[in-house]
Amino acid sequence: MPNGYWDRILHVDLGTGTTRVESFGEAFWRRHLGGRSLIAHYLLTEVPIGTDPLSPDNVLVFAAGVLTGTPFPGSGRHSVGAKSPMTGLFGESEAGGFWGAELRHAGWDAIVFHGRAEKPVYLWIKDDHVEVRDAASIWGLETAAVEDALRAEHGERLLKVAQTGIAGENLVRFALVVNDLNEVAGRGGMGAVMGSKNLKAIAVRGTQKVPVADAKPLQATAKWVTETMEDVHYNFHHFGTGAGIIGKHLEGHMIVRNFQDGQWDPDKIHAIDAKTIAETDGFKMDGCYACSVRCKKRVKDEAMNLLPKFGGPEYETIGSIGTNLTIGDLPMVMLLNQRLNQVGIDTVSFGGTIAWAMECFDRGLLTTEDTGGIELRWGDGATVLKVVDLIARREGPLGRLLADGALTAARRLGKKSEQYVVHVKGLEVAMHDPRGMQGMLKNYPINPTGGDHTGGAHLKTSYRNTVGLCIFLGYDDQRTIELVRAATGWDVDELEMRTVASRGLSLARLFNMREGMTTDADALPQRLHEPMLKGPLSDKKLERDEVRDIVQDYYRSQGWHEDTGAPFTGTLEALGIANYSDFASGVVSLAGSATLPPVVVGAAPVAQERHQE
Amino acid sequence: MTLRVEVHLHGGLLRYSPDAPRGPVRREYPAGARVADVLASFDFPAERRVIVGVNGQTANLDDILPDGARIDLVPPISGGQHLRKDH
Repeated sequence: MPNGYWDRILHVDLGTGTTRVESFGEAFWRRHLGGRSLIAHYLLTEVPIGTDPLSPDNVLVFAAGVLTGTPFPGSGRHSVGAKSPMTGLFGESEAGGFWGAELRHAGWDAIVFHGRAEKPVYLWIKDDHVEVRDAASIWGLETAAVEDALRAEHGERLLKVAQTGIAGENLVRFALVVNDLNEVAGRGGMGAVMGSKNLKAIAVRGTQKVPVADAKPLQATAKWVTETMEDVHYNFHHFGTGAGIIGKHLEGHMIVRNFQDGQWDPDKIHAIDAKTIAETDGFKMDGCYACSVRCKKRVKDEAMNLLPKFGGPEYETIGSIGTNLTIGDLPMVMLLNQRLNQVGIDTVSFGGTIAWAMECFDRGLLTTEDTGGIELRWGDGATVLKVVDLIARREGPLGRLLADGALTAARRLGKKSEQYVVHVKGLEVAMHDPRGMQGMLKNYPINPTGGDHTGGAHLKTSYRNTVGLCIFLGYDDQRTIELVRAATGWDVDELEMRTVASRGLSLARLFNMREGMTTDADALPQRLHEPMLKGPLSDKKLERDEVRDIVQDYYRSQGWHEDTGAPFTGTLEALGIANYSDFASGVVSLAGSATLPPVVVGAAPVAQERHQE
Repeated sequence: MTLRVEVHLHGGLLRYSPDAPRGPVRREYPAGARVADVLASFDFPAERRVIVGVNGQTANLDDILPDGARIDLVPPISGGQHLRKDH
C-alpha cells in the first residue's frame, strides 16, 4: 500500500463518456508528486503541439499533490491545468477549499478530461463509483444553484462541487473553475477549457482517509500552527489577505488606474482594505480543509444580497476591482467580487481588462460607438457591475470585445492600444507591481503561466504547487520536508525538494517552447517600464536590461541556455525527465553540462514505471 | 499645546496595539513631537521595521507631527529596497 498517494488517476473521455484508471508506481510519484508536475506530464504527453486550447484535443487536469487532503493546515490545495486559452502556453492555477481534499478522500489523485462531450455533462464521483451524467438541467445556472441541484440530486449534503460558471459556458477566456462556491482556480482560463468540453461540474464525495506513512508529524504541525497562531499567522488569521495595503501606497507601488499612478486617495484605500472589511456587520473568517489559520473572508449584507457562502474579497480582488479601477466603495467591491464568483470570472484578468478599457476610454481610443453607448469611467462601480454580465454572456459590443482578455481586445481595437495592456505572455498581471517588489520582478517575466503571482517561477512556490501545500503557511524548508516525509515515507531532503521544483519548471519550459514561445515572451510590458505618475517611485524607471539580466540569471540557475532559455539535455537527464524531450522535439540545447547549476547536477533521477489497470 | 493624533496599526503590528486587535489608537504628544516619538511609544521589537504614513504620505523619523494627523504604522511590503527615502 503506497503512502501519500493512491496511485489512481481517473481518465474521462468526454467524447465517449467512458472512464479508465491509470497507475504508475512509486517511482513516478516520487518524481512528480502531483500538482504542477503531473499537469506538465499530461500536457506534454497528451496534447498535440499547436492545439487550440478550446478544442477537444486539449486536456483538462485536476491534480492533487501528495499532501492534499492529509490532516494538517495548508493541505487543502489542488491544481487545475490545461493549455491556457489566455496565453496559449502552460496553464496551471491552484485553489484551496475542500474539493481537492474530498477528491483524495474518494480515493483519487487526479482526474484527466479528454475530448469534448456532445451535450453538457457533469462527473459524479462517490469513492469508487464514477459516472458521467447529463447536465442539461444545470447548464446555464449560476454556481450556487448548481451546487444545490447536485446535492439534492445525489442526496449528499456533504458532496463538494468544482464547476465552471456561465462565463465558462460562453468560453470567456478568463473564466475560472470555482469550487465550494468561494475558492477558485482563477488564472489562465481553466473555466473556459471546462466549458469548451461541455463539462459543467465535478461533484465528489469521499469517505476514505489518505494513507500516510506517519501521522505524528502532521499532528505535531497542526498543533504548532495552533500554538503559534498569534506569532506566525497573526495577520492571515485575523484579516486574511489585504490588510495593510496602505503600505503599498506609502511605498509607492499601489496598483492604480491600470498601473499608472502608484498611489491613490488614502481614505479610499482604508475604506476597502481587509481591516475595514473585518469591521463590517456579519463579517467572519472561515477556513479550508484542516486549516486552523482560517484566512478566508465571509461577508454578509442582506440588503445587498451579499451572502457569506460566496466568500469575500481577497487582496487580489481588492486590488484589481478596487484600487486599479479606483472604486473606493466597499459594498460595491464586495458585490463585484460576489458577482464575478457567481458567473465564474477571474477577478484579476477582469480588473486588468476593464482597467485597459477605462484607460483607452480616457484617451479617446475607445468610444461609446465601440462600447454600445457605455461610458467607462474610473471609479464607476455600477457600470462595471453591468459589464460583468455582458462579458459573462458575451453580450453587446463591449461584452464581445472584452471576453477574450485585454491583449486580444487591444489587437482588435488597434490604435496602438496594445501598449496599455499590462500583461505577461497574454495574462493580465496580478496586483503586485514589480517596480516596487523585487520578488515579483524575479517572478513575472519568467513565470511559465504569465502574469500570475502564484504561478511559481520561484522554487518554493513551484514546490508547494506540486505537493499541494498552501503558500500562506509559514513552514520553513525543514518542516515542509518533514511533512512530505511523513505523508509518503520517503527520505526526501532539501536537494530533492529543490529538484522537484526544478523538474516542474523545466517541464513547463519544454511545453512553452514547443508551443513556439521564445525568450522575447520572458519580459514585462511597456507600462511596467514607465515610471509611476505619483509617489516615491515616480523618479524610478525599470530598465529593460535589468529585466533581461534577471531572466538570464534565472535561465542559468535552472540549467537552461542563457540566450534561448532552452533546457540543456544534461539538465533533463539530471532531473530524470529526458524522455519528455520526445514530446518537445527541437527544443533542448545540446551544449555541455559543465554549466549546470548545483541543484541540477546533484539531482538524482529515478526510474519511470507505468502501467494501466 | 498638546498634539492629538490617531494611530492606525496594520498587519502584524496590530498585535502591539493596546486596544488589540482592531480599533485605532488615540494618542497625545507634546507640541514639537516627532514621528520617532510615536514609534517609541509602542513596544515594537527593536528589529521590527516599520513604514510610517502621516496623513497618507510617507514620513521620516524626524518629521514633526501635525495636530490631528492620521498616523499609519505598516510593516514594509517591498522590504523597502526601492524606497527613495530612508525610513
